[in-house]
Amino acid sequence: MTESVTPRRVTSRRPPERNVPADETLGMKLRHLRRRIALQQVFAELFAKRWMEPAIPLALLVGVVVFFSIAAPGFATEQNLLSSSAELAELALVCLGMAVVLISGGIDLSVGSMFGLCNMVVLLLVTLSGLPVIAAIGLGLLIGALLGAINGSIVAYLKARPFLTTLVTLIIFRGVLNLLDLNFSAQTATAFVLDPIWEWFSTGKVAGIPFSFITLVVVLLIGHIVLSRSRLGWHITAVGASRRAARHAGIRVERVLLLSYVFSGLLCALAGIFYAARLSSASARVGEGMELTVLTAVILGGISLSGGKGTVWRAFIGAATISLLGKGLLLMNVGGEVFQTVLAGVLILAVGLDLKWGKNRGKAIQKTYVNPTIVQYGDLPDCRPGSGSAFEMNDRLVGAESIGVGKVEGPEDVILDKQGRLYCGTRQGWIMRFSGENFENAEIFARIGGHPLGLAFDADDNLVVCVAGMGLYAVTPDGEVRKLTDESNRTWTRLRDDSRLRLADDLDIAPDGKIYFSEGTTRFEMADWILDGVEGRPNGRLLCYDPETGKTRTVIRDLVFPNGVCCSHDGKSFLIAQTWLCRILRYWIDGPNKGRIEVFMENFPGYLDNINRASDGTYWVALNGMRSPAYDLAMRMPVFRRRMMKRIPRDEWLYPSMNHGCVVKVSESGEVLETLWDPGGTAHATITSMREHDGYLYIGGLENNRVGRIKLDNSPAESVGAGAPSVAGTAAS
Amino acid sequence: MRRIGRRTAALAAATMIALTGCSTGGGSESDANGGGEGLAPTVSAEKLREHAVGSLKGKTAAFVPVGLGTPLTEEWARQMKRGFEAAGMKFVLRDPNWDTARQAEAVQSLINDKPAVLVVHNFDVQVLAKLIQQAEKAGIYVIQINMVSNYKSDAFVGADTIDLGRRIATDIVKECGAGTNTSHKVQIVQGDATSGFTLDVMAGAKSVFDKHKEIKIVSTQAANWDRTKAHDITSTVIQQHPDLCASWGFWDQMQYGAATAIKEAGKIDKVKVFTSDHSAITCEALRDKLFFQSYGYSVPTQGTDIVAIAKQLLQSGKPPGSSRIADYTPLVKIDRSNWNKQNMCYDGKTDGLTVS
Repeated sequence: MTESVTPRRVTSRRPPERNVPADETLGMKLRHLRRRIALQQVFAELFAKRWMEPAIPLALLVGVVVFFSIAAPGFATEQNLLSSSAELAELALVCLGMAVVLISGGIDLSVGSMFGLCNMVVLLLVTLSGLPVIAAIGLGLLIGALLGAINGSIVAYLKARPFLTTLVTLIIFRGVLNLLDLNFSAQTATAFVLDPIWEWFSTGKVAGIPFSFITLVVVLLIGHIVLSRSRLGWHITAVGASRRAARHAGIRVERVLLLSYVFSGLLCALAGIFYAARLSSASARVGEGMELTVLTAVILGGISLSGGKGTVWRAFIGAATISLLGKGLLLMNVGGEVFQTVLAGVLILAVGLDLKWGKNRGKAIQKTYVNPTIVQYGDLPDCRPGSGSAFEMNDRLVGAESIGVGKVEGPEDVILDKQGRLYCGTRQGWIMRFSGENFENAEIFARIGGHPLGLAFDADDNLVVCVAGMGLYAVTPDGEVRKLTDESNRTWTRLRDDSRLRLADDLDIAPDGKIYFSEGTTRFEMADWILDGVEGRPNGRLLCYDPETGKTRTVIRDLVFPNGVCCSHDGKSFLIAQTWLCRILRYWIDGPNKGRIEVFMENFPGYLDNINRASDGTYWVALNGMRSPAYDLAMRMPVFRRRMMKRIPRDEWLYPSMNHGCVVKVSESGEVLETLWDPGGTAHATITSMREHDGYLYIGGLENNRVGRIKLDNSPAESVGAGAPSVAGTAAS
Repeated sequence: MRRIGRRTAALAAATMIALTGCSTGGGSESDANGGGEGLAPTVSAEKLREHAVGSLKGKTAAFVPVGLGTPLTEEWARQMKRGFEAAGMKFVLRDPNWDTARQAEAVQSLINDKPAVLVVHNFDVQVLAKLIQQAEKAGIYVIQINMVSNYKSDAFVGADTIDLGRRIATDIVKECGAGTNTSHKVQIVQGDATSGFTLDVMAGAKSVFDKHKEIKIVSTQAANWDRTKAHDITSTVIQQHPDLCASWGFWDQMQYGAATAIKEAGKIDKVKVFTSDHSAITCEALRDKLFFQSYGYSVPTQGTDIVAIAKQLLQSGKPPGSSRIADYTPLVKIDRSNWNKQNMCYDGKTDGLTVS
């Protein structure tokens, strides 16, 4: 029996992604399981999606469809939906025109008049002028564009207000329409057009779907690409968002404005042509009051009246809602006057909800995004002086030499090259290099950006850097910066896109040249990394970049904040320090255990940061902060932490303590050998890394303004020189 | 040149698709109720009843006016509802509220629903033309009311609008033409210019006015059946032509606005206001000396006529689209002398009216 149990435990490829106490009860196991399911997280990540912005309008549209499918007989029939789609197409085209103008920061009240006028003109051309239908249609489009251009030039070049301008042109165009109606429409009334192209525009179908709707879909697709992917589209959005900023950016604002009105006119004309072909109604009434319906639709779709915000799909959603609402009410025999009232009610409801949604979405995400889980620790080791424990506090870091005081900000990691020059990253996104006997010459070696964290030299003396917010970069000995990778394969089961690297943290290079690096968390940005600690979920991962293929893949998913990464002395495994779990994992990349993960050491008294090889076959581990009984307790109580986050402001939360750390030396077999402390924390409070070189230990800190150095008195003399590259360089050498 | 060639090719291709892919509605199907004409003259009363009731019972009649909320359309709807429901039929009413596009939508949705009879009140002569054709192809009897479409359906019920135009024009000539001590100036306030009613009345008027060149039409404008518009147009016209002899508006509801404008200008004693239709407002306006005269066209019986024609169509066994019946309802002149006689005006509520 025992035999059958033991091998199974050995072959299990991965220990649980949490600290498991020796005497864990079934109840506790269930609690962990319950906390693993994080519905709140799903909601928060769903809400954060950009495509969730029009959620309310879309929900309303779905609601309208569902409601009328149930309430109105004959609504959810193929015939009705097909005939509705032809009617919808005309409205949606006009809505699209209005949307473009709104996005550009204007408004076009003359859409109804342009629509009516184009309808009339095309009908006159088709019935009375004797022009071929195709020419009449072309001319109709041209006239629409011209009408739009009139609006556009007045607004853009004469600098008139769009509202007044288009209000005036609404009346003028309508006046022209009335004139045409009076003089010509009686003659058009009795003419029947039997041209096939005209017929096609009126009743043509492609695979059963009305031609006008197909046209709408095509226009929507083109509109989407133009608006979201083309220079012109970006210019339109930019002008709408801030005209002054757009002008300063060198955008030709006038031309963009003119074009947006031309689009509006053109789309009104297209809609008018379809209307003309469908109904042949040369009436002055056509398009009367349409501007209100169209405005209602686009606002309902969520296109901002203040400009700079909106998509073609939103315009379509709005148009579809209004159109289907009207159709549904019609089918339910609700009178026309009720329709207006219902429309107004729906608009108030939708706009109100959308406003609330837009206003509170960010807040809701913020409130629910951090999603604490249970993190348990073993008994806190005693570190007090005189306690006699392995972690007993001492003053060995007091009197450490300071390098580059005030010249560096936040050297998370430090490293030395073959010439003994010291490199470190800074929060400005630079790599600093110190040279000279006492490192008195400081220079900016490279400017990468982001916040450079973990450092390592590859076989060709390129400095490989993990840059928070950017990814994995390499700097040649000449200081030339090259991106190695900034993305990995996406986890498709996660809502949140984790293909981009957010927080590349530390790296080491395997004997075969593959770069293994950790990403602390995929859910939080560098500025909020501490929130990952409040959450305590397995959000991090270990990745591997292969310089030969240039590909990056995720090696281990779902790790609780993997921080330090270090190749073992024999080059067969990697040690991974997990900050919030206060433990070190060993991941085998070679040998009989290849692929296996095991817990190397656990229950450190503090939160782990980088881990590096020592010259004597052991390892240096940095503790960036110490655990406290109070916070250990808080980590066991996710409900408490959630409540804390809800009830009190962020600066008063309990956080993992990050103000005092130490350096620990551990053996290959997982024993604590010695510790180095700076008790007052005057020079080295938070220690995030240390690097041994030539008998010295160099110390970095994420929040520090210097790099520290102490002489290691017990370091073996023979390791100096020969041992140095094996410490800082690759394990294989 | 090559470009043009390519375009032509594309055009040709589009046309081909149009021709092959184009479809305009379901195929026609003949009515399958046996056909009343097939019954022998000696058929038993019971059989006849069976046939008549069977052809109607459970079927749907639908009515799409241009808009409810006027005595005219309300009266029609009221009469039809009573008539159809008494015959055991269902009556469906769709109100586009004076919106052309919505009227087309309403008719389109009814075609999808396939009622047995569809009564339409055409906005203009074109807007429903194709849809009426579609409806008949789909097996629906279509009856048009008062305002005719370019596409003539099974039946038309309404005023003889051409004759109406002729009669009113003749009356105007009598009041304002040669031999009268007037300016001979006449203002015409049309409904929608493309409405069948407007077109026909204008045609009738033209045939009269062409023979009386002395009549000067100083203004012909479309107020689109809207009282405010008629008022605004007329208040301008009366300023330009203070010596106007007559103002002729094509509908009492609309023309009331014109009459008010003339009254406001202080000319209501000089300008004679002509109109047609005979809703309560006509009688009130005649009483108040706003209108000079109007023509009634027996609106209450139009509703019942439609029911009768629908019954006839349903029992005839003829397929939809195969009949062309026109039922012109009587025209009765109403003026300041006879407005207070019984049955002259309807109000959309009171029963008991026959012909006025």
